Amino acid sequence: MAAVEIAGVTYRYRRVEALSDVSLAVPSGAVYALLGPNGAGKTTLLQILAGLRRPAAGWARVLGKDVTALGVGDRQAIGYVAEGLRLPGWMTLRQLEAYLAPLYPEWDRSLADELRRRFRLDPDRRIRTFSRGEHMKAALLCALAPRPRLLLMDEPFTGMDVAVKDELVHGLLESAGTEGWTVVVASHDLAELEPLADWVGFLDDGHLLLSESMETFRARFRRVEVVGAGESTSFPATVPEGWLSVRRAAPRVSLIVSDGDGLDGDAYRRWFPDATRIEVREATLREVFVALVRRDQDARRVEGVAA
Amino acid sequence: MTWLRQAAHVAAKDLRHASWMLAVYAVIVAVATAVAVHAWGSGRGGVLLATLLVPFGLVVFAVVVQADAPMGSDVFWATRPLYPSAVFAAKVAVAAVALVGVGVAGQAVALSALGVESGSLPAHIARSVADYGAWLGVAGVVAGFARNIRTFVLSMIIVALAPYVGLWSLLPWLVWGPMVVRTLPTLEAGIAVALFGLVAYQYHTRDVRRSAVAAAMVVVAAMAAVGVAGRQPVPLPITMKDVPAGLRADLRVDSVAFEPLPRGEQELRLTLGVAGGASDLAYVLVNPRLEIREAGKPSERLDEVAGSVWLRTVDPLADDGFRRVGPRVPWLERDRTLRFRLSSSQMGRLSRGATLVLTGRIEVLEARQLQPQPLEIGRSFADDGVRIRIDSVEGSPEEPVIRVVQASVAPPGTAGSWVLHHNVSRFDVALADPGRREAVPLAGMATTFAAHAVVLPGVSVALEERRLQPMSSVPWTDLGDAGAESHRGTELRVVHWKPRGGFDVRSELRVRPGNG
Repeated sequence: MAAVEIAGVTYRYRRVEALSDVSLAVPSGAVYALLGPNGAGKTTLLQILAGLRRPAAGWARVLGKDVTALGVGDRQAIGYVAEGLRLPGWMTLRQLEAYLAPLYPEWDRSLADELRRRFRLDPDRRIRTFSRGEHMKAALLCALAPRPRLLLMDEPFTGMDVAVKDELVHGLLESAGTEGWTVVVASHDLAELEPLADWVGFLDDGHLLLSESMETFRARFRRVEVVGAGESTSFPATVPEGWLSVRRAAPRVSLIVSDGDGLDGDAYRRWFPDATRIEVREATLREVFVALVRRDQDARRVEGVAA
Repeated sequence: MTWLRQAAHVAAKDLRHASWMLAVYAVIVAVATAVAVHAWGSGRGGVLLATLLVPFGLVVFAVVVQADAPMGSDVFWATRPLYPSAVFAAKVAVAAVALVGVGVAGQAVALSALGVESGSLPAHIARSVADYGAWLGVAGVVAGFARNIRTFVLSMIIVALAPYVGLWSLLPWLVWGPMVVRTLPTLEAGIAVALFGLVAYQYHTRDVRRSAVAAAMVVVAAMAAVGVAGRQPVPLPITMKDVPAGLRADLRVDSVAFEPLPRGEQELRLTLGVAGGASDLAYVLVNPRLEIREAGKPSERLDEVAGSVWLRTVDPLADDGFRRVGPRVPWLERDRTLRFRLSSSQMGRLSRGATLVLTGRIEVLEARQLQPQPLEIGRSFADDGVRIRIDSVEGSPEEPVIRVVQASVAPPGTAGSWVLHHNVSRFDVALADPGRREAVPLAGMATTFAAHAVVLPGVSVALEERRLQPMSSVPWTDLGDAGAESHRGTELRVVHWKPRGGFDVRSELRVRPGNG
């Protein structure tokens, strides 16, 4: 069963369409990495899932419930962390925990204590005195302590140092695995997400370009390194649609392809007959992210080269 | 957690959050109450406190609302398992208990000190709650879409000033005409309910456009303006209660006279009285209007020169066994004449047989004799919303001047609505010497006026410093030795004329200039 289902969701800020006909599903227990450049619509999508915004068209369900009709019981099972979420700054962390705990039947005090220790948060300091990173850690603590079934995180690694990030990623992986949490996380921190995610979605300018399991992703997105395809080397006049990025730095040409499932280096020799060596490997999230973001620019560049 | 427990949980959090502000607010209420109870001689202090109290209360409410802002995608509470209606209810509860409740408590104390009877207290307090509630409603809506307190304060200043600036520039007829009408508590209560409904809608919907909320506020304001605009101005407030039929009397025109004025104008003098009714009650015609009506022509209203006229009065001290000193008893000598200025064309219409239609409302007043008050400086006494303090006794035994400060509780509204108490509900005072069994009626001479709110908005107090001295036509009887000591043993006998209700009257008369 899908923990998150979205069908044809559209959202507008006045005349700007932030999301256009977005549809996706996140299976229960999955860690879903929602990627996209700034302004792609990731935050809006997460806010819709958290019930903070109402879609102008389409529908979204979390844990089987329409997001516009989330009740108290549903919200007890959803954790939401976002950069810029306004925690009550006048409270100390201890007071905030005491305020929130009665709202959740499954509030885990020992987990809260452990997270506070792990994050090195002073429970008696007012939240308004926290640094940006501490603020985010406090928000995470408040989201994780109720042991939610669905965790929505928007840029959760903001302001965190490498050690805490690493700890958090591992902690999340552990919890998601052992407790069956579903995690939807939007972040620019691709290196941290890569080991965490088992599903990935890519939004650009309000459009969902892809949404698939990491297994499928890794199988079809490949990085192809062509050596020997120098200045004198012939270059294909037209490139296949599945080539997202073509970078030429003589004597090398680097490709990111989206349809590389099952293809080895020989499959690309028809385009580069003069190549001395062609290597194919899995593309990283970062490589695909950059390729998708720059695909229009790269397409123009390729056209220029080909001409 | 049940809905109710959630509401209490959030309210407790809000009380902790705004605790120091609420403490300051309570202090302001306490000081304002003390001013109303003790230091009511300085009306401006009361005005200052009232001016401070309400805006501060609105800011406190904004802080409470913004702690869990109803709108915005970054609000923490909305991501938590909280009923939006419980959060809204918590805000209303905090406002009701810590802001309105504390204010009402102060007001009740102040009004009680001013002698307001327990039966009248709920009406006064309801008035204030409606008035304050409407402002809190505005504050709630504005706080809902303002992102911080600074934006809230700026927005409130604009909201408070915009209607006046807008109406003055766009609809001056509305401002200069019906806008001077005092607003009704029911209208204010309606506005308050509508605005709080809007806040509740914000909490329920959350993802609502700010422009939509602003538009809704404009609609509420327009409805309020229409409600106010539809009412005719009433120069003097009246009691809304009608008296039973047995206490009603007929308006009687005793005489009609014309006096020439410069530029061909004439002054029409109508001496009025009442027929029937109760002999132990006073009858006062309030808000008289005179219209000239002529067949086939539009009626024409004449400007009245008096807001009220005492038609019949009685000497409430008639049976006290005291000898009245002087040739007249002024209470019985009140002028019963209404005066109207008529132009030559209006005189022409009357000559052609036009009818005069006199309308108004007669207020029926009951005399209540208060406990005799020894003539001591600083002594104060109160009765049903009016409190009198003896400030000084000066003058010679032959010409004593007693300075008193009178504080009269009156509903707000038009400037001068407190005139009600001076024109309709009033005091008559006599200086009596129980030893000699003599009493001299004193005439009240108004000198200065000030006014302040009694703790909360909605109900204000008119402060009037008066000098009481013998009527000029009344020869003074020596009451004792010279100086202030000479007044030892004398006492003030006070009669409070208290409105019991009223009834509308209408009288038609045909007069011909020249033949009466």
